[in-house]
Amino acid sequence: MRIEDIIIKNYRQYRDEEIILKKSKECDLFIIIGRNGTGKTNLLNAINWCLYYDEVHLSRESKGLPILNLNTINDSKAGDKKEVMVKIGVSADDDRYYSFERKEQYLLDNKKMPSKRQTSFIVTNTDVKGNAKFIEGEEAENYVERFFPRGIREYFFFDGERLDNYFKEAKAQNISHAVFEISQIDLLERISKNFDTLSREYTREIGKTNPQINDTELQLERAKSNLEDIDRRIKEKRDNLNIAISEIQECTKALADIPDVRQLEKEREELREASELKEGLLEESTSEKNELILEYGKIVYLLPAINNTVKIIDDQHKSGEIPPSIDKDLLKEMVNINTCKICNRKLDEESKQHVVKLIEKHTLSGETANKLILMEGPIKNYLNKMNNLEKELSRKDREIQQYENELTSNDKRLKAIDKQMGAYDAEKIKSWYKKRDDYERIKSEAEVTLGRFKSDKEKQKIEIDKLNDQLREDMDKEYKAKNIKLRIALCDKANRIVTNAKESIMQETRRDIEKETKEIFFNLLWKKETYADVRINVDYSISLIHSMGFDALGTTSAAERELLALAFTLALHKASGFDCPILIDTPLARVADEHRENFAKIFSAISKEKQTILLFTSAEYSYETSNILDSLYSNKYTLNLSKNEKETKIGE
Amino acid sequence: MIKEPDRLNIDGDDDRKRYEALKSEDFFANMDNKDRFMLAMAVGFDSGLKQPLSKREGFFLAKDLQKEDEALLGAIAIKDFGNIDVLKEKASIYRIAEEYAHAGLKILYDKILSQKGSINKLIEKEIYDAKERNKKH
Repeated sequence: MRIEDIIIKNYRQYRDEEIILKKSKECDLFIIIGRNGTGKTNLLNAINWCLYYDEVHLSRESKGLPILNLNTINDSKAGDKKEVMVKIGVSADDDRYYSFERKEQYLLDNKKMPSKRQTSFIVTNTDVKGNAKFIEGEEAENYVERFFPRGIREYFFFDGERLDNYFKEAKAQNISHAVFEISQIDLLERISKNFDTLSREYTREIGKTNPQINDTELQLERAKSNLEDIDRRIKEKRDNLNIAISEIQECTKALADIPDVRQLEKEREELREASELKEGLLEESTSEKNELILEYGKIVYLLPAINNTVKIIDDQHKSGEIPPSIDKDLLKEMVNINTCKICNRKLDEESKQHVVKLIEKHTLSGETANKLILMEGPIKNYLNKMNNLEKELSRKDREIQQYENELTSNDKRLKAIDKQMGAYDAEKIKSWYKKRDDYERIKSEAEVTLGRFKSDKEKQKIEIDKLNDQLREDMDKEYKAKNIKLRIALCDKANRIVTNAKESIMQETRRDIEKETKEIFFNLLWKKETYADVRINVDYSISLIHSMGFDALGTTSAAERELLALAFTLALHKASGFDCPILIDTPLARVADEHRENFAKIFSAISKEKQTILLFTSAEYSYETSNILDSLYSNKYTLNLSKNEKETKIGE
Repeated sequence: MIKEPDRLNIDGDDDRKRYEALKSEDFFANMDNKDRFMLAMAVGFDSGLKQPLSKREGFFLAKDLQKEDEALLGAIAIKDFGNIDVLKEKASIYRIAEEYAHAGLKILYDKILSQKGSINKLIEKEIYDAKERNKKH
C-alpha cells in the first residue's frame, strides 16, 4: 500500500497544493525540504487531521492560529463560507484506489473570524475499472483503521525527535504498549473484562440472597479497585524513575570530563581560610623574631663592654673589693675630722695610721662597689641569654619557613584551581550538578515509593485472595446459589483462558518483533563487530548486548540508539501486517554530521521495501545526505514561504 | 649635689625625623622609643663612633629603663671611660649613651635608606657579622 497523492486546500499555510508521490525509481523515496517555519510539520498534521481529525504535532505558534489559511481569510469578505480540505490518495494491494477526504466548512463573521460550520469525512473506493463507491460515517472510520490504525500511527507518521527519545523515557512501557497494539488483542482484552464483569454480576446476585456474600463481594470489589489504583501508581512512579535515570545519565555524560566545580570551589575556600590563618601566624612569628633579634643584637653589639664589665666584677670579687667589707668614704671622713664616726673618740696617731692603711688597701668606693654588685646579675645574665637566644632564633626561623612554604604551596594550588575553573562556565556546570542532584533525589524517592507500592500491592493481593476464599466459603454454604456458582466458575475459567491467550499472543508478538528488530538493526548498522544481540525481554525492556556481553543501551551513541528505534519501528511495521508508508519529520536533526551519511544509506535501503517520505530542513539535507539521496529519490519537493509568510508553495 | 638626669635625649629634629623613618619599617614598627634608642646606641658602640649632641631634646624617661638596660649603659660607660668610677655619675653614663646612640642612628638610617631588600634580613646579617667580630672579645 502506498500514498499516491496528497491534496491540501486552505489548511494552515497550504492554500491549494498537491504533492504527487509517483514512484519512478527503485527507491520509493520522496524528499521534501523546507526551512523551519515553512510548514513541514504541518504536512504531518494535515495527514493526521485528514485521517484522525486531530493535529498531534501542532506547534505553540500554530495553536494560536485558525486552521483556515490566513491569505484565504484576508481575500474573503465577511459572511463568506470557506472550506478546508485534505485528501489522501492511496493505492492498495487489491489494485483499488482509495481516497480519504476530510472537509470542514467555515463561516467568516463580520470581523472575518472563521467559525466551524460542518465537517465531513468520505472514503472513496475505486476499482480498476473506475467504479467508485463512497463511504461515510463509521464505515469510513473503519477504512482508516484498516489502512492506518490509529493505535500505531505514531509508528508510521512521526517526528524525528521520537527516534531520539524513544528509548530514553519509560522504555518498557513504550514497547509493551506497541506490542499490545500490534497484537490486536484488544478484542481479547474486552472479552476478559466482560467475563470479569459477568462474574461480578453473578456474585452480586448471590449476595442479594445472602447479605454477607454481598458484603464480601463489595469488599472484594473495593480491594480490586485499590489494586488497580496501586498498579496505576506503580506505572506512574516507574515512568518518573525511568525519566530520572535517563536525565541522570545525560548529566553524568555531560559532566564526564569536566572537573567537579563545586568541589574545587570548596577547596578554594578552604585554602583561602587556611592561608589567612597562616598569614596571621607568620606575622606573629615574624614579630616575635624581631623582638628576639633586638635582644640578641644589643648583646652582640655590646659584647666587648659586657665582657669587660664581667671581668672587672670578677676581679673585684677576687680582690675582695666586692662585696664591700668597709665603707671607704666613711673612713676618709674619719681621717678628715680626726674622729671615729662609730664611737666618736678622737683618733690618736696610731689609730689614724691604721685607718689610712685601710683606706689605701681598699681602692673601690662603697658607692661604686654597690653599683657593680647591682650590675653583676643582669650583665652576667646577658651572656647566658646569648646562647638561648641563638637557639630561639633558629627555632623561629624554622617556624617562619614552614609557614612560608605552606603559604607558597596554597598559593600554587589556588592558582591551579583558578586556571582549571577559568576554562569552564562554572555556573552552567553547577546547574548540571544541581539538576543531577535533583534527579538523584527524585530517583531515590521513586525507588523508596515503588518499594512501598510493591509491598502494598502484595498485601492487597493477599487481601483479595482472602476475600476470594471467604467468598467461596460463603457461597459454598449457600445452596441456593449452586447454579450461579457454576456460572461464576465458568466465567472465571473462560477469563483465565482468554488472559493466557492474550499473554501468549503478546509474547509471541514480542518474539517476532525482537527477531525483526535484531535483523533490521544489524543489517543497517555501520559498526558490524561492536554489538552481538538485541533483546526485547519478557518484561518488555530492551537490551542492546555488546560483543563483550554487557547491556550497552545506556552508553551507546545517540545515532546507534536512533537506529535501534528506527529498526524497532520497522519491525513493528512488519509484525503488524500493515504495509503503511513511513513519513518522518526532521529525521536527522539530532544525528551528528558524521552519521548522516550512514542514515542516508539506511533510508535508501528502507525505501526499496516501503514508501518512505522524509521531511528535511535545509541544514539536515547537507552534503553528506544529499550525496547519497540525490540520485535515489523518486521526487524532491521544496517548501517556499510567501513574502507575507501566510502561505507555503510546494515546488519540485 | 648634682641633680640626676630624668630622661635620655636625642639631637633635636634631625634625630627625631630619623627615628620616625625607622618606625615605618616593619622591624622597628612595634618598638618603643627606648628600644630604638638602645639599638642605635649598640650600633654606635659597635662601630666605635660617638657624636656629641648639639641640641638636646628629651626622647624617653629614665624611669622607663629596666635594671638590665641600666646595666648595659653602665657597661658601655665603663668601657668608654676606662674607669669604673664613672658609675658614680649618672649624667656621664647617660651622656655617653646619648652620643653613641646619635652616631649609631645615622649609621642605621643610612643603611636602611640604601637597602633595597628586606630590612629584617639586613639587620640580621649585620648582627651575625658583629657576632663574628666580637667573638674574640
